[in-house]
Amino acid sequence: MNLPTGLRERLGALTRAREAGMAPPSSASMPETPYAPARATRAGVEAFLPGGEWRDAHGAVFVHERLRSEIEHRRPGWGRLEEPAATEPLLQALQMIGLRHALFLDLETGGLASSPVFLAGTMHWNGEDFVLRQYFARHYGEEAALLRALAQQVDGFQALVTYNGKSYDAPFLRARALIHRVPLALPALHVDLLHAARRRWRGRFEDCRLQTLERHVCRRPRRTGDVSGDEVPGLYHDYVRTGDAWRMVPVFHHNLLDVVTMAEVLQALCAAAAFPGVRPRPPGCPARVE
Amino acid sequence: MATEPARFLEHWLPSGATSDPAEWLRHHAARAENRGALVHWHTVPARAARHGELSLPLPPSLADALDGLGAERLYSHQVHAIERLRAGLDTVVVTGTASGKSLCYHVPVLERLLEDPDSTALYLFPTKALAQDQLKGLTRLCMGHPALLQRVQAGVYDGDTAATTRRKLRDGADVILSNPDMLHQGILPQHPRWARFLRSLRYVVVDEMHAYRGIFGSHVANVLRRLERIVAHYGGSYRYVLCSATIRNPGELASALTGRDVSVVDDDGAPRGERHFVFWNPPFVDDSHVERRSSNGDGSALIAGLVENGAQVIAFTKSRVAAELVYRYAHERLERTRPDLADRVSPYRGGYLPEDRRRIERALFSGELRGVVSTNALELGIDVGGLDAAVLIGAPPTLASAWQQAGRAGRKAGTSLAVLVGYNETVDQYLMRHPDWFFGGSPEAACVDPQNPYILAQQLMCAAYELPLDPDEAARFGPLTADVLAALDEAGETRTIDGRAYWAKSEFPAHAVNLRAIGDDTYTIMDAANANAVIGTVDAISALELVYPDAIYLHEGETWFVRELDLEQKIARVEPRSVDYYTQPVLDTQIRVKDELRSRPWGGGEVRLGGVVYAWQTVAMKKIRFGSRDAIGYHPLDLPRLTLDTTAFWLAPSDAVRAALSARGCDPWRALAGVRDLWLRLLAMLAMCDPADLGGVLDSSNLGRPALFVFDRYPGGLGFSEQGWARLDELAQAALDHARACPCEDGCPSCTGLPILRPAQQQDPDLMRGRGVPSKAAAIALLECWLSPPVA
Repeated sequence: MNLPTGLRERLGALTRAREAGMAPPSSASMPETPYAPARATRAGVEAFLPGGEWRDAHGAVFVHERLRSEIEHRRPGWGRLEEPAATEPLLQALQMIGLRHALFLDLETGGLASSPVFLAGTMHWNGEDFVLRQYFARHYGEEAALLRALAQQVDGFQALVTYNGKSYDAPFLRARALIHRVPLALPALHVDLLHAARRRWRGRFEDCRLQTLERHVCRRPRRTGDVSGDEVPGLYHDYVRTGDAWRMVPVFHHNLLDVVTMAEVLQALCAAAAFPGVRPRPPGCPARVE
Repeated sequence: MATEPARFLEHWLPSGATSDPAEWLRHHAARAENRGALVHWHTVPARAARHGELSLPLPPSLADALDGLGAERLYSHQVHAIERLRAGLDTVVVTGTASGKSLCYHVPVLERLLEDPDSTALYLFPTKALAQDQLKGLTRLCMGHPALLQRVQAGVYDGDTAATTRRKLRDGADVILSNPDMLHQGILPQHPRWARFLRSLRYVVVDEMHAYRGIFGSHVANVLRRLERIVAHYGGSYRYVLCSATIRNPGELASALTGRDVSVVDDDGAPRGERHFVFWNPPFVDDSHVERRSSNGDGSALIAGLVENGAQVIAFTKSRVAAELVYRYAHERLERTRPDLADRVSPYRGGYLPEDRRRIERALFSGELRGVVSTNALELGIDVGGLDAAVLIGAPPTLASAWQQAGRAGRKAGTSLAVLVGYNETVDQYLMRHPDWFFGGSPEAACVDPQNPYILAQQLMCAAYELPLDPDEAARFGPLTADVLAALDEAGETRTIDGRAYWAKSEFPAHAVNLRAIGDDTYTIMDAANANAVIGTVDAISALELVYPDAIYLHEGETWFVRELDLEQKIARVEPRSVDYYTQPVLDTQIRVKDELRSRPWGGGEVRLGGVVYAWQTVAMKKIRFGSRDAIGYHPLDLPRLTLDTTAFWLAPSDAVRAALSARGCDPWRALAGVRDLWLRLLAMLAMCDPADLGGVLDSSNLGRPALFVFDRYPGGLGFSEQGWARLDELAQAALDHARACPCEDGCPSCTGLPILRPAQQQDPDLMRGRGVPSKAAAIALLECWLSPPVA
């Protein structure tokens, strides 16, 4: 590993001090400074994204909450799920339970297997509007509180809705929960829209990525100025190091758009004819076997 | 799983054989042309087995399975090991080869698995091949009883394991066999997926513990601490079982690796037949007493003779080329005398394909193969059974290695033989004259330094990535932890918040941390005359010494001509060619100062510390005729230079010192060579690394006068030469004391005659002209001048 020069020099000093039998240069205890952003006068995320804290005896995490109607015009059919085809038993189960009992979830993480989850975007239908709630760890030490807050929220729902969550978000959360020793029980019913989306739309568009469906199924324009998935981890580490909250704004936005699109994709999957461009399966046609 | 073939010794024994190798050797040595070759004969009498009884019997299923393997009674050391582990003590077992060492861990592990349905075990080996070999051993044992078969799901988890198998093992295996590199990069960073296995972990087996020394050992010590930390996180705890060859300090090494007190079991109770150790020095070619007969030739004659006589022989050589040459000569001889046996001998080395190596190992184990000529690749543990004779062609660089190699010969009953054939060079000739150095000497101590700040920093980065580091981690990783973490924080690698250190980058640290000093870039060797079929591999560094364009490459005794070496694709294209010569690379080495960090007055001059670039390059090739060793050609080559960027300290004797040396009749170059050897040996002790982790060269191109450079054999350096620079007074005084106290007359391998250190030198040692051991008197004179500099 190529260690950076400054680090190398400090390690060299340690080497020499050690062999000279001297006490190590710094104190014998771990650095005790509590976390402080690089410049205390810098504004935190709350300057850009109003919100509060979720707090318990062990720690706190930042929470940003808003209603979907504050950012988008209400569309007819919000909150309503048509009856899905019999070939989609999970969607059917979800529709029977009712949208009020489902929680949409999308995570932003450090990207690698053991990196932290720092933003958990959730959304649920409260009967009148969609409530978006994003939990944000303002530094690495708040991840545990984020998990506890998320665990508490998830507890109130009977179904989880994700995009690629079976392979990614759910195992990731379980792993992080193990690391921080947070009891986390995800709902038994987990609807991963990716699988149903593939069954429905495979071959129709260039791929089945969420942003592709956002354009073709939800008919939204291509996102501009969005961050790519690869950039997200670096942005978070930069933010923790510098305290520059504005770096995180696009990430919150990206996360919000993903969650909202998920809700629309779910609606489209449940209803064959609700969205133009979505070709219904002719009756009697056998479902494709994956 | 296919069953292993049993040993068919009687079946394969050629007719008319006496099968006492010692007898045959006496006859062979008595022949006129071999007069004077046999310079020493040392006999160790046979010893009977010493058995023991366990205080509490084993579970019946396990006892039955052992019976089925022929191990109804346990040896004393096996009993001791099992009892200590039952008592909850971490234990290291130090016994010879073929002593049933693996039962010392299989038995406690299986006993625990039977007792406790929720327990698991992890076995670690330094190579993938060893893991595979031990899986066979474990499976054989479990097949001895249905209860074991049912209970134990075991598998190898390493870089070669298929993706679907990996998941199955993670989710359900009871015993995982792996290696430290995989643990470091593939298991610990992914530990939540391993939660089931880790929380139930009860035993961690570390086999071939003596391999974990120097830089590699220091890294592994930290990887084990990371493992311990993570298992504790899941609420588990485990015992260590370590197995080691004979080194001077097994208990100390085990403690340094594990961070725990470890109890030592070394009461080897395995039976041993009579063993003979013989030194063979090829006689001089003529009365001028300058050149000796080819050691490769004499060695191959010994091998062929022993095989003809019904013995099963393993030969060890010092380089891959030597293995090929010795095999070739032995094969030729057998074709003339016993053509039925000619194909029952094989070479063996790194660079052969894994399936070819497995085939050779199996044939050796079954007895079908009567002779194998190997590099030290067969020195480590793979079970090939006990053989009748071991022929060591050239002394290995450490006593511990020599005993390991010799130990490959030795059955439970019956005579076995180990022959050391000396090359006509420095250390070997010293040994031929002073066998007591070999037999009286105690094996080297193995050294590790897990607290080396550069290594600790890299390992703490990996640890922080796995789990944020708490203040109480300091106890686990040592007293330097807080300072190293502070350094990491300052560099932005980690971020400490409320006392816990978090990994603060988006990179995956374990990927950039290599536990071993050498990289693992590999070239593929393809047969251009046969649709580019892959015949073998070679590491990137050796490639430029073995498969350079126009080289004759030896593979399984055949000659291949190298048509092309593709440096980008890392492919060597070869084609079979029947020739009567082989080639040897001519290497040019160089050291160049890159930047100077520090300098201080010392020894009447200055000692400097800084960055250097050590470079080596194949500049030409020599053609050598087989057998006669005549040089029949010399051709310049244009090949890239390989470099190592590292730290070094260097100094040159001042004019006044040189004058003083002259006055005492000492040559400055010879003096520097002697001091170099002393300093490398002693700096390794001071800096707690392995002598192989250091390099020393004499060079006059940098300073315009003869100078000594001492550097770390690790990119970027690990602080060894830094310590040498800082403690040069101590180092020089220690060297002087050591040389003065050494009972030798003029220099020996213990003081100024350090064996060649450069790893994997792909030369034929038969061709090297011995330079003589650097003069002890000159080295002493130089050290005295430096420590009390003469006035100019």
